[in-house]
Amino acid sequence: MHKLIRKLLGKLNIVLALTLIMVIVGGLNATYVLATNEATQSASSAAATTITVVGKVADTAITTITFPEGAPSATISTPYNDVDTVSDAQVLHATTSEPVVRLKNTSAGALNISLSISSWTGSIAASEGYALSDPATTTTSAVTDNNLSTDGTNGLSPVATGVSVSAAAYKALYLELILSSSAGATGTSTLTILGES
Amino acid sequence: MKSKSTIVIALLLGLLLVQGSFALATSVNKMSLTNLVGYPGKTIKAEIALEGTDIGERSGFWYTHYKKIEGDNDRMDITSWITVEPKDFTIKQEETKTFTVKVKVPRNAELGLWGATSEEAGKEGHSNERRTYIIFKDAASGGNVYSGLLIPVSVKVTESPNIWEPVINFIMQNIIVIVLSIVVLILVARPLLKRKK
Repeated sequence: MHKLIRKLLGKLNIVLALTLIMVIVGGLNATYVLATNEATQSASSAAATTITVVGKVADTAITTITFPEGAPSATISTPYNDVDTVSDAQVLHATTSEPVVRLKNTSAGALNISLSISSWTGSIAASEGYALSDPATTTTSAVTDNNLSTDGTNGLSPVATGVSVSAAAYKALYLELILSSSAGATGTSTLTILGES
Repeated sequence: MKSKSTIVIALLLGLLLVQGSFALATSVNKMSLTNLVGYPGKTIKAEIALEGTDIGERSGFWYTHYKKIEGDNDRMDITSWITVEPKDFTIKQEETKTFTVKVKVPRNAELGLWGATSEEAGKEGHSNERRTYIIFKDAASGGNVYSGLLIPVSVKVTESPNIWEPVINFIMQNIIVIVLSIVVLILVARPLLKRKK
């Protein structure tokens, strides 16, 4: 009798072990459905886009800005872009001012504008300045001479203008260059329009 | 009548041409890379993508910038930690290019936030809290006017993770299976040991 009980207990051990293995395997592969109160949410955001530099009137991208030749130490306030050309240069005037280019924000949100230049080559520049306004404003008669560069280098860059341009809106950019005292010199620089959300 | 229809066709063609020269620029899929998490010695990797939306090809490059503010501590300038690969790019309309931003946290970096004064720095309108940026800028071929965006970067330096953490996590996630497996082993092993005796 005692032997039979021991034998049965031994078999019970194996049955228990097999049951537990089944539970483990079953638990590993089980998929539990707890509730069906789920809803799908979705959202999307538009990509941020760099500020586009366009002509004075048309939405055509410009590629270059040129300052015309001047006497040593002269103030050059009639730069022009390659779309509007030299025949339609910047105008600084108390009632009829026109910018050199317009800045268009094609992003979905407002962007703060910073301006940056690379150092002028050929020691051509003594300083450079800018002004930003709404395109409808035609009363820009003066530009601070050195708020973009005090010495023709990129030492100040990038300059945070403190001006924000709303989505799909424009700003008018005016530039002015003070030539150095070097005669017969030429030089180049790049202008960068930076946006920050 | 015929001349009127000719004028209409000419106007429509003109409109098409004007739309064809409509200027866009380059889009980016992330306007901030703030609160990146890493521990001393770790290199954090983040991806950022540009999409060309301009009708022409644009060429540009990535660089880092520290916006120095009076009174900043040495946690604000992390430009030396950052590299963007590839650095230079050209991008065509509807082309998407992905870049890897690598931030190598120095082994001696103290815990806490680096590169910004607040964890809110990535939010729109929180420009004053940003210090370290990556910048991309590009221009049309042959142009001297660039456009770009300032993208703030900050890092939360945390303690180095425990090397046993993955093991502990595995045990915690599979605790029931492990306990049941131990019980099975005991149940199977006990009769075998008894038989040997």
